[in-house]
Amino acid sequence: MKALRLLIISLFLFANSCYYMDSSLYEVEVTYPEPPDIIIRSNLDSMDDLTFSDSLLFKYEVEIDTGTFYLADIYIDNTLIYRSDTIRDSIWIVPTANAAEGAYQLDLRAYAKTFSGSLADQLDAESFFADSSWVIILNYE
Amino acid sequence: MRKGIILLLLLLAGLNIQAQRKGLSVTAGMADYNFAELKAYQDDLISRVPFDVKGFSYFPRYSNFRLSYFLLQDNGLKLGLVYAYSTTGAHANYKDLSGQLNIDQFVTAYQFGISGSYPFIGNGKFDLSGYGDLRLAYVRNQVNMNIVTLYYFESNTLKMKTFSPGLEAGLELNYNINRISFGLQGGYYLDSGSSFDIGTESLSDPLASLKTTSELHSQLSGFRAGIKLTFWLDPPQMTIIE
Repeated sequence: MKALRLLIISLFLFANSCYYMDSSLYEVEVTYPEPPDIIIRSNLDSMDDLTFSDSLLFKYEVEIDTGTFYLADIYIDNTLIYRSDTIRDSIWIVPTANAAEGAYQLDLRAYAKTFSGSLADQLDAESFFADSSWVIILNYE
Repeated sequence: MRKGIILLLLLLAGLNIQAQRKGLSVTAGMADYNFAELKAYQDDLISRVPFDVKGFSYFPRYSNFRLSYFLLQDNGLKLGLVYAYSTTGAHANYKDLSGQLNIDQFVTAYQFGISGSYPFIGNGKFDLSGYGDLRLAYVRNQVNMNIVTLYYFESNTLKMKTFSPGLEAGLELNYNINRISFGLQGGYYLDSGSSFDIGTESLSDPLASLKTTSELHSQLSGFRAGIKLTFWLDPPQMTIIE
């Protein structure tokens, strides 16, 4: 009788865990096009000396041949400091109070639509990116 | 049809049951379903997304369990209570290197009711019986559309439910061994097809809406077949010789 009760309880539990499942996949191959030509121009390109003591103006302009720009991220030593959704923008780089003197890497990453036709591309959640780097030097003297 | 089923239930409830033995039977097997409206709804959902989504399954035959507690009458009639559980669903998918999209429906039906069976042919060891159930089904359908990519995630859900009466009739072949019987059972379940009470979507602005464009009905009707195991809960009667 005890075994029968156990059987009934386990049957109830088993029956309800027996849930319909189908995880079949329809895999589609996506051919990615050649990345677009992304040209990044900055006011720093024309400066011979990138040393600054209190602030530095950084201007950029992004040109993409496919014409669909998503955004640009600006990093200092791999820390994101600014995000812009325009192809032309400028920021003042001002060191924090305890910033140490020395060289810092300034990166600009520009993201553009891939036009691959993939799921993420059609949801505007996939991009090609190009980046440009400059070494800026903080010197308080 | 619903009125007729309720009337029949009331008539059966008034029966004076004089049981000799009681038992419990468990049937595990497969069930198939009509679900024509839910199939069309799945196709409609697939057409709403701007991707080449492929529909894989449309409510195929799937697990079905039936549990019955019965009392055996002197004339061989078994009357009792029944619980049945069945589940099925639909699935569609699109996948590429960047992510995947799934459109799923999960239907589960929990059914409670009364059952009766009567042996047409039998010699003690074997018997061939006809059986019938009157059941009230709680049918639940959960519709999911999930999109997963590296930078975009969306999970939209719509729930619908209904209570739907129905009846099942069929045949069962039993092989009786002392306190246990083994058997095969097969029949047809006819659902009255109540319309679903449809909830609201979990997302307010999804890529593609899960909203239904017409009334949907439960449509659980279909064939059922399974292996049956019966436990007799009373010990067999013995004669004491002094």
